[in-house]
Amino acid sequence: MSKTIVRCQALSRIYNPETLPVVALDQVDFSMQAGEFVSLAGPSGSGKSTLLNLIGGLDRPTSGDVEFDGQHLGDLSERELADLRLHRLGFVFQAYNLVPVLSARENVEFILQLQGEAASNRREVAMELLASVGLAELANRRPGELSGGQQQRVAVARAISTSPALLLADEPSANLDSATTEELLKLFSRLNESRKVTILMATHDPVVQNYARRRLQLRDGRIVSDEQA
Amino acid sequence: MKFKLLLQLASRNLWRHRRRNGLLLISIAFGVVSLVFASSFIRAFQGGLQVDVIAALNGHIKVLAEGYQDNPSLDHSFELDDGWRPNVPEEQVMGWTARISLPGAVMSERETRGIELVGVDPQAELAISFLGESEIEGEGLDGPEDGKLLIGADLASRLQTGVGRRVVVITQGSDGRSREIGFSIAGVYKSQQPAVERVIAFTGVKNLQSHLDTEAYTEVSMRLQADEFEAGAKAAFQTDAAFAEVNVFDWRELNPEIAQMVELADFAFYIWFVILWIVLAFGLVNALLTSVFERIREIGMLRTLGMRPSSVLVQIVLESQIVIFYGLVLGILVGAGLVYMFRDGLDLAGFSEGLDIVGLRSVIVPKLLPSDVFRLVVLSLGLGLIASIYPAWRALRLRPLVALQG
Repeated sequence: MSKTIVRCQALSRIYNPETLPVVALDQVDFSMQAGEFVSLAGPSGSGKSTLLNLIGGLDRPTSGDVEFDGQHLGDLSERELADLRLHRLGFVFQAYNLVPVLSARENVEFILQLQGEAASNRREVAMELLASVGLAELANRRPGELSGGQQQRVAVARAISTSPALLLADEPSANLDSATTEELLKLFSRLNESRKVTILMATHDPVVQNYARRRLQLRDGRIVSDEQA
Repeated sequence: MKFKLLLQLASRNLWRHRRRNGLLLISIAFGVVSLVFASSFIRAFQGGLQVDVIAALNGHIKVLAEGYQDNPSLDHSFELDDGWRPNVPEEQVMGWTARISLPGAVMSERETRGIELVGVDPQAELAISFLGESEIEGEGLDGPEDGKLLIGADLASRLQTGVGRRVVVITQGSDGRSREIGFSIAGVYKSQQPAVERVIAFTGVKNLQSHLDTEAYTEVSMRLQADEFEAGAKAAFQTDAAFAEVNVFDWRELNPEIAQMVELADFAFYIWFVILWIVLAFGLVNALLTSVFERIREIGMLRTLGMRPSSVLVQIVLESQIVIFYGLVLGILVGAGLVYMFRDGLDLAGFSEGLDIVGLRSVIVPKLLPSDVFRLVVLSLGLGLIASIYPAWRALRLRPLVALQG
């Protein structure tokens, strides 16, 4: 039986609660098992990114609780949250967000380096991951010298470099053309199947959702459907 | 390991905006050059002042009879046994001598001038006073019995006299009555200090004693190998049984205005330093703040990925320290090069009248001290650290999510 990696209980996030309240999430209950590949769909403003941010420890809920791998995030300090993100979570952003002054390999090594991993081991892991996303030959190029799709693949390699318990991907294909999007999603599927990477991916693209094995639909801050593929 | 990563990020971020940071580096280097150059001249000024005042018959330590300063005459003098030696370790002493120094008037055929007539042992003076490095036209004095006169070039010019001519000096004898002493001018000395050249005339001390009917001296002067021996030497004179009623002075007490100027020179360095760094700090803070605001998303991403706030702070501080470090290296190299260019001295003869007022030499040789360079490096890095705190604090305050959203 898989273990529960994320559990959200009565999770709410209201922006500007005192002045002009905007309810981004409204009493959301949601859980996710290790090894799952879940898509989070919904129109803009439905609360996808807010949910991802709360699960990733980047934001604090107005009410409710997020439990990540048995830890209540509300009990953690900013520093402990930073450590959690460093050691247990992987992030893939819509805008790639690679460090522009580092090469592709150095970007992948970056988190391992923050973790204090030895140089020889980091390099080996980085090259192996870049090879797995088909970018071994571009390892020494900087982000500015790579296409959008290539940058996103580097970002994925970086995100999984520490074997995170959960990979959070926020609209990872929003800036990519359809061919590159398909390539990226196949990569996600492969990572999920072969490396057992748990993935929670926010998207508003129905085509992208089809790659996930479980599909959540959000509307007005509430989960309106939860389907297994 | 993490520090290496932060250093790598900091240096590459600086290189990313190399034009802006290059300009900042050059402005820091320019400021450092001016500081290096200024401090080397300040040191030359300080060193020159001190050496000159010591060489101007003061020595490091001077013993004067009680009351001599108020009334410089043989009424305020003391006698010394022939075998007397100062009780100061020999290795600390550059030289010492006993003199008679009395005010008087010198008359040539054409002019009369007020002077300080100083009876000396010429050999001893060579080691401790400006006579040792003075050019002499004609001859110097042969010994303490020499009955000729050695006068300064400026005085000779004012008296319209010269080597081989005769002058008459009027001064007071031990009985309180005036003595007129005829002297033949043995030589004319040129000194780096015009004020000294104008006033001091030398003759043999034994010869002067015989003219004045005395065996007494008015002063003992000692020059030491280093300033650090001053206190010990002063104490030795103060407790010497040979002196009944004397005052022992160090050169600072005899020339408080010069001592103050030497101390003020140190202060001048700090004033110059602070003014420059206030200007440079604005540039540095501005460049770092711009750099932080340009990279808000990037900083947010680094924080999202798990970089601790302290690491962000260290990265920003490192960026400032790297620019300052290279600015210092460049500035010190160029500054040292300039100091080397002026190794033979900067001739300020055009300002010699003004320099004379403050007792300065007309040729100033800049002197770059390693301790000054060290102080400059430490203070600059320290102030750079302080200047980078605000930009770093701004970066630190960014919440990862807000920063990530730009």
